[in-house]
Amino acid sequence: MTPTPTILDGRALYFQIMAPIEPDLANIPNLSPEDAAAIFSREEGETEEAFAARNAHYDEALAEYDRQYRAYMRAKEQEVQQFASTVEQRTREQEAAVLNFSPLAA
Amino acid sequence: MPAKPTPEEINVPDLPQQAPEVVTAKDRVLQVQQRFDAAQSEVFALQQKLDQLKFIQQQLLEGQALEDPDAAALEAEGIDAAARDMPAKLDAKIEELSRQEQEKRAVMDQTNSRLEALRKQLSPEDELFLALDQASSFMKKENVTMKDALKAFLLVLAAIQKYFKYLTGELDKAMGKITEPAKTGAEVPGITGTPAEHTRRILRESGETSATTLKQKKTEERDRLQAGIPAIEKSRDMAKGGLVTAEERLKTLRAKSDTKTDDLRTAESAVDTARREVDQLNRDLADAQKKFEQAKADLTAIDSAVAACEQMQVRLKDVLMQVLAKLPATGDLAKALAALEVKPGANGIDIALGFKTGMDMPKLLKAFNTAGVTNLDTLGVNAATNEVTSPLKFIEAMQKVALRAVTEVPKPTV
Repeated sequence: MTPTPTILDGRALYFQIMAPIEPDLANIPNLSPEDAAAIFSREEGETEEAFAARNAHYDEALAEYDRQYRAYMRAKEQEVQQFASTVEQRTREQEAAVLNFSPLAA
Repeated sequence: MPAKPTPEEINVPDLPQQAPEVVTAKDRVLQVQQRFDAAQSEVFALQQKLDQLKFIQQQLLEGQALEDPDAAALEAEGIDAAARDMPAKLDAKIEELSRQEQEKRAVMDQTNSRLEALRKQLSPEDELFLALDQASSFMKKENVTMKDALKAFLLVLAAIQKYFKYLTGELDKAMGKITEPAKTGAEVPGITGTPAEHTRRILRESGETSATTLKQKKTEERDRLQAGIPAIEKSRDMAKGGLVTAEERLKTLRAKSDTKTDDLRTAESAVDTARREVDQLNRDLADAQKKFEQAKADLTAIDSAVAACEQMQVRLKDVLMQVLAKLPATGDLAKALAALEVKPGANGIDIALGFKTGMDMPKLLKAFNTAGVTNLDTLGVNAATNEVTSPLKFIEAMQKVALRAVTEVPKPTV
């Protein structure tokens, strides 16, 4: 029997993937728009190069998140499809059992 | 079910192209937020699909549990075993249901028989007041709704209608078929059938539609005949005198030897003429006396039939008033009650005989108008003659008056 799939909710999924990649980005949904923007602003004393490097790092983090997110969703979709096949098979078997029963034949 | 998306189709929405150089802080927040939102919505959609499948799976398991309490064993044995046993289990189930159905039917039959026996013991009045009690019980609930009020009212009105039909039947019997003097009027010598039958027949023959008018005409006829009889008697007596004179003259002429033949023949002819006149007047007198007796009998029959019908009408009115008095009193209902006042006397006689309403027509019509019953045809009344042409229509219109009264009661109280 195929086990029933479990799926993380959207918030948990985002956090689970993003937290190991880049904690700053993982925390953004919990912040106000102003606080979130402040994280991405150029800090006082931060050089132009350092700020550009930080942004490049964020770009990479987002790309990595996209890759892992797609992988997770594909896996879960497959699990759900497999589970659906099992349920459909059970439904067909049960219907067939009822349809094959004939009081006259019995 | 929609086609399943391919893994390639599962994708985050198109993201804005990143700026080649440094993106703004606001754009960066937007990038993050878009990914977060995509995760929320896509996972939610997938979870919904999964929930549907779980529900179907649950239904399947419950279906098995119904067939066999030992679902765990069936599960272990597999679906094939369940399907194999299903025919026998269905047979047993059908047999069990059939047995339960038979038991229920037996109990229902027994209950119905007892109810029928009890119902037979009820008089029409009992049935009517039973309906009233039932209606009262609807109205005694807490928080009586308009639906309850209408239900109660319809119950009562249906009972009134049934009772009215019963009374109509009684009236018909009283008007024609019965031998009970109390309902048909006292026995009247000289008439054929019951007084009610006789009254109907002479009404039909005379072309009259009102018992009052008929009675008036019959009275005039009786008086005229009564006054005419002495005159006929006087003429007859005078004719008798003439006959005696003619006979004596003939006798004298016959006694003489020299009487001429012509004179003798003339005298004989005078005697014949006088005798025929006396005979004719005797017949006229007998006819007038017979007609006089018949007119007297007709009048007695009319009075007797009318009295019986008035009694019936009073009974009908009493019952209707009792019933209506138990219903919630409202303005319109009070008007309807007032309008239903039945006048004793000529009009009452007429309605009892089934020709006119006998009610105060203007007041009644006003009440019905108030209830929106403005067409005399829907009231079952002939506008030209005020005759009730359809008692059922009349009752239906009365229901409208009463129903309107009920629907206008915000919080009926009993």
